[in-house]
Amino acid sequence: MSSGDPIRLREGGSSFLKKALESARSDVPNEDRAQALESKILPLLLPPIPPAPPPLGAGAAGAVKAGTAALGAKAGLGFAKVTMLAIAAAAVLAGAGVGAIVVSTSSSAPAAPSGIVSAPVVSSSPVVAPEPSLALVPLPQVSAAPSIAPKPIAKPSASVEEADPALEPALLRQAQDALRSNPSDALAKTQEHARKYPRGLLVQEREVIAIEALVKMGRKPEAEARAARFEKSFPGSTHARRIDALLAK
Amino acid sequence: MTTAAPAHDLPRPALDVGTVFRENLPFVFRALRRLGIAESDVDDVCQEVFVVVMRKLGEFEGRSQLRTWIYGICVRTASDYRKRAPRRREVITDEPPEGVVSHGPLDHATASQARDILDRILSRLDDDKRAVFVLYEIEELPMNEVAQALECPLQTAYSRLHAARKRVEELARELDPGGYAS
Repeated sequence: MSSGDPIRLREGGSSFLKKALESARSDVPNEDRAQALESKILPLLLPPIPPAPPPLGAGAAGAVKAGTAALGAKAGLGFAKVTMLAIAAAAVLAGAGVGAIVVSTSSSAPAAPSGIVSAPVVSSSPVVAPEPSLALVPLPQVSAAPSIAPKPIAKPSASVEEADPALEPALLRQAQDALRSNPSDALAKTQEHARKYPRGLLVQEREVIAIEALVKMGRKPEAEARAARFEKSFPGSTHARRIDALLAK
Repeated sequence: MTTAAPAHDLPRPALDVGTVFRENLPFVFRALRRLGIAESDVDDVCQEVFVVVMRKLGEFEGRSQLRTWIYGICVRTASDYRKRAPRRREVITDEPPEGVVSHGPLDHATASQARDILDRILSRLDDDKRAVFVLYEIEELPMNEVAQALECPLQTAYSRLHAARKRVEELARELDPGGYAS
């Protein structure tokens, strides 16, 4: 830190911020993830490509003849023979979109998983369908029919006005407190939260409370349907295990 | 070679692709996540960053540290990503929750839950403030490097940091009642 820099929040912030920033700081890929990324990305990287290729027009990537420049690139797991990746770089830079660049590799050495790449074919076709836009909006009352396929939470209207955000945690605290004695009231509070804070910071927590309330009220199919929607909307949520535990009761 | 030689005059080993990749991957990954890249997209955006890095490495003039220069690329790539997918929500983590599960969701946050909340708070900041906050508070760059990475005057970087911290602390305080954020 330079002498004039302020004390970082990781040292001088609230306990929550310290914990959050510590956790954020440690969020680096583990060894397996790093290895997978290296195998995926490193073969695609070239030494500096001297002249920038001419800008690609929309949809032109597939038509561009970018002559192949086969070269040996020393990859972490071996030598990768990389063929024509400048076009991939150009297409990426042209804003083809995340996941829109396909580098098909037909390995000339299939036994080498380290990414011996030969004659990559670059396509501008999207490979990954855009993830549905998810936002934080009130969930409608779910039907008791458990066979309904879960759908992600829909996008809120841009015109939605939220209530005072400072009161958001208090409302959910009331909902949580009501769980013990009056789950119906707890559920009503979560519905109130959904109306007032469609983009709230605590939407996931609201959903967990609502699911627990439904379980306690004996409305398990609704709880399961809501849990399925939660899973679809918040994959990898830190609350997933708790929801599983609630549904297992 | 002399120690004062600009980076583009350095011999080839200094620009070794594998070394640049391995040394910088961890912080590129981490910075991208906090800059709003969804877990499901972070691999692709990492690739995008390194493609740009390798493509422009020859233009790197050595006026800043390589790390600082790469952070700048991360910030711009993440900004482009968010413009392409402005509504794409951030997947918070792949990690299982820590500790026991008997707490209610508003009880004390685990470390990964705290990071989850932090991500939601960061998503409320505008791009400029978010970038300064991430580079200073999480990546722990000194402010002069933050300003270099963002190509803005140092005083501007300080102003953005001040505003970002104020907003983050406000939002964190709002989460505090009942001890959730304590």
